[in-house]
Amino acid sequence: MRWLALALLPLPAFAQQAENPRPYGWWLGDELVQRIRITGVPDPASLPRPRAVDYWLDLREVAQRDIPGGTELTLRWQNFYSALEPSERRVPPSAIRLADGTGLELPGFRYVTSPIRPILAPSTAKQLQPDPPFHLIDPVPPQLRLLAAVLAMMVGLLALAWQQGWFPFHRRPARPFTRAARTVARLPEPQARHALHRAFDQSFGQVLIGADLDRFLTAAPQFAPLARRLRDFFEASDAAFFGMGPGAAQDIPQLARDLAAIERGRR
Amino acid sequence: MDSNISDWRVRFRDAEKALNGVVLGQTRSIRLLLISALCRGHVLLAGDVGTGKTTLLRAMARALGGPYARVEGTVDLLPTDLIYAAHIAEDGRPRIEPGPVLEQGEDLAVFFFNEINRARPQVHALLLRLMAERSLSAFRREFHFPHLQVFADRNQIERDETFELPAAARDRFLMEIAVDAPAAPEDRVALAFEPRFHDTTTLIASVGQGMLRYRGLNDLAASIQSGIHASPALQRYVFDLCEALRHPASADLVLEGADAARLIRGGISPRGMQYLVRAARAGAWIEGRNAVLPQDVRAVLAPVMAHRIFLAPAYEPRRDALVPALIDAAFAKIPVPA
Repeated sequence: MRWLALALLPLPAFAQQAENPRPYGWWLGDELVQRIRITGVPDPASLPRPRAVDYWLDLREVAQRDIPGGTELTLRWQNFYSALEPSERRVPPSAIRLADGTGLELPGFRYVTSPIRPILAPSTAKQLQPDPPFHLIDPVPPQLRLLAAVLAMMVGLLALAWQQGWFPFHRRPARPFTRAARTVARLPEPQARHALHRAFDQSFGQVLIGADLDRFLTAAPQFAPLARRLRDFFEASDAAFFGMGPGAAQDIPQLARDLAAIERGRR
Repeated sequence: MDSNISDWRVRFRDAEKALNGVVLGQTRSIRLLLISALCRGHVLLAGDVGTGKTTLLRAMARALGGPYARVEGTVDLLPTDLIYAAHIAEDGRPRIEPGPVLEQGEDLAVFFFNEINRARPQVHALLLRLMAERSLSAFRREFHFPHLQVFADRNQIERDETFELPAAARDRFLMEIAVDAPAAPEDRVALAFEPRFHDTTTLIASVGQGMLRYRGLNDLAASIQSGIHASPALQRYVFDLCEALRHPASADLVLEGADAARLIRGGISPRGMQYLVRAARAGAWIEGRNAVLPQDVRAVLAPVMAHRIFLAPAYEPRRDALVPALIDAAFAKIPVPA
């Protein structure tokens, strides 16, 4: 009666079903796929690691997916055995543990691997594949870009020098009277007066009117020897522009030349 | 008329000398007051306490001669207080008599409004009409004051319990003269130590009463405005200056600590420009010339224009520094003859 009781124990639908790769006809570098169905859930920590199992065998990948009533494990092996003659290789089993703690062994399998070509056949150069085509790099665009970058840097430096007033853009001493002396010589009377007035304005740093002449002479005492003629010039300007009666005639170009000479320190 | 004009010039010279003897160290303010009398324009004096604003105005009123009325601005002053004086007569009935403005009749020459910023806006409105039209309505009739010149003063120290004059009222004043304490140390020492400066009433009595003959000033002012020449070059200078004050950025004025493009909100009215020309002509006449020169314009520009320039709200608190800087920048930049 005891065996009957044993036979009536509920059995799992399948303890383990292994779908092993075919046992023959494998070459160097081939991938062998093994599918194993087990009841229960395996402990992921106990699954075999993808690794080099041996010098001629790699375990590439271990994948698992749930199926009704259990789990399907897929192990991908790769054969690196460079066979000199057909030979049978043995893939070892690996032990795993289920989530409930019971141990289980994933079965190993055997396969036969063979050489690809006759061992003693001579190698010829024709068997070599041609070299892959190579591409020459065109140096012109990078050279052009380099040139453009250098040019941009030079322009930037010049702009910075101009903005900061470095050489060659540094402020040279302004010589308004010297410039005026050149233009006055070519101009008729009223324009010549205007030009010399503008030179006075620039030299004084602000607009100079006749009433401020003393301040101008205090600020620029080098012009003091001409004080008399400057006073006459401004009085004549008042007469000409603001209707203060007739002013004395003057040699404006000569006055401008004298002012310019003092400005350049020739006197 | 020419000999007449030269007589007038001598009178003004004498009055200027007398006033300078009475009020020390205020040469510029005195010159500006005389110019305002020549333009028949109203003047607002602004300044610190005790710098002699009132003394100066009293002395000026005495030099002009003629009837003179004075009112002290207070918070509770009403417009009617200027026109009417109400009191209980001896028979026990209330009486309405003419107030300070009217009691001198229509010959009133100087109306003197002390501490104008203490009075309320209603009073300013009345004063506005008095200044602009030289007329008043009271006792159901119109009073006209052909010789009237309004002098007002305003102290800048206290701000509480004061009412800032509206822009329209300030625009009616020909000039706003800033009166500072005398700059020269010897003047200040003299003011403190010389006994004759201690009693202002006797001091002012030393100015000849009516040196300037107020009744003739209207004709004189008209003949000055028509007789003093302003050349096209000078007209252009005045126009350029006003244009630069109105649009500082387009005139390339550079101001420390202010954006010239956003500085000005308004002001510099055509009336202001007209006042500027009138004052410049009067200044040239006092100097003894028959044509206006740039320095005449420069001398009167700040007192005539500064209170007509309205700054943007962001810059208004720094007005005291910015407006003189703006005017100086315009002088330094606007070429003459252009």
